[in-house]
Amino acid sequence: MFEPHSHSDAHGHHTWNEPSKIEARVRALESLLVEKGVTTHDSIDTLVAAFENDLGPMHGAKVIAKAWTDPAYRRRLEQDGTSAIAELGYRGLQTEHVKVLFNSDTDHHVWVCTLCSCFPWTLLGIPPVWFKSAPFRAKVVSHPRCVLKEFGLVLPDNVKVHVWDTSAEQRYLVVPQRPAGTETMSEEALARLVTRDSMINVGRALTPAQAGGAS
Amino acid sequence: MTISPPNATTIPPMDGALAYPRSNGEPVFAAPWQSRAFGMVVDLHKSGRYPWDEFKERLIQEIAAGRLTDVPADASEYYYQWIRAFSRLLIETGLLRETEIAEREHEFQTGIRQEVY
Repeated sequence: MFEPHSHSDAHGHHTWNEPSKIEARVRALESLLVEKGVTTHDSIDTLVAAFENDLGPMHGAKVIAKAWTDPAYRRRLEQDGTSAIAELGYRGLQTEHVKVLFNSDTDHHVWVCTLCSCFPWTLLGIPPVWFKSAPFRAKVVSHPRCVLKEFGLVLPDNVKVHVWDTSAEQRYLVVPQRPAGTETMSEEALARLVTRDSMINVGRALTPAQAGGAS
Repeated sequence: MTISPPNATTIPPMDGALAYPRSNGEPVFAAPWQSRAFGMVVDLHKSGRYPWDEFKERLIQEIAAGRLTDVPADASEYYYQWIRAFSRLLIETGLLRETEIAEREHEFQTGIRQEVY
């Protein structure tokens, strides 16, 4: 039961380093919960790996790519985001009550969680570090254009910026504009152009050239 | 698991290693303990130990009680609040006792126990 659990060689479990208080607390909780049979180290490993690898942003990207290529699906997303997303098998934890927002030439949507850090993990993976920081949460509400500019996204003056505050009851997913020059691309190829940032919407979807260069 | 560089915990300025490429592959945890903290909370929920809202409400309370505006721009604050919420939930649901958590924490802190998960 107390075998050193080699989660990663990088942790260096061969030499003991005094843990920080929070590390000691987290290890204490895991140790006790495993000892009492409430969970197992492997179960936690599997879950963490799933969120890091399998449940990452690509689920959201598939929703976006389908919205770009299937007008009927796009209409269903407009009418009832949660149900339309569930059609693709993504439901449950943190994906309930999803409102889908559509960017256009005249409107740009951004969402943030000013209260805590609500985030639809199953669609987008774990929140990026900047999303959870207090300065981002405050500034995106007061100066959205300024924040977008810091992310490298400069919008023309005629584009209206909408900032949505997510909550436990209401979550958002932004459908970015389909990049130019992608008319012949398959849904699968299109999904690769969708970044997590473009679904939060501090960025645009990649152009095919950018996607090629980034991978 | 990737450890993010030290400058990845602050915004703005939106430059340095944090700025780009902001690809889908950005590190999601700033330290291994954060992924364990995350994994435990979700795992116990999935195995039916508590409804998700029970955790979520406590996290919102911890964050509301915390320092939303005057903290340094350190995203790991989030997982401290996460762990405070989780500890309370475990105690309040009777899964763990406060005293045994404190004892076990002390054992890890002092090296009586040296496991790393």
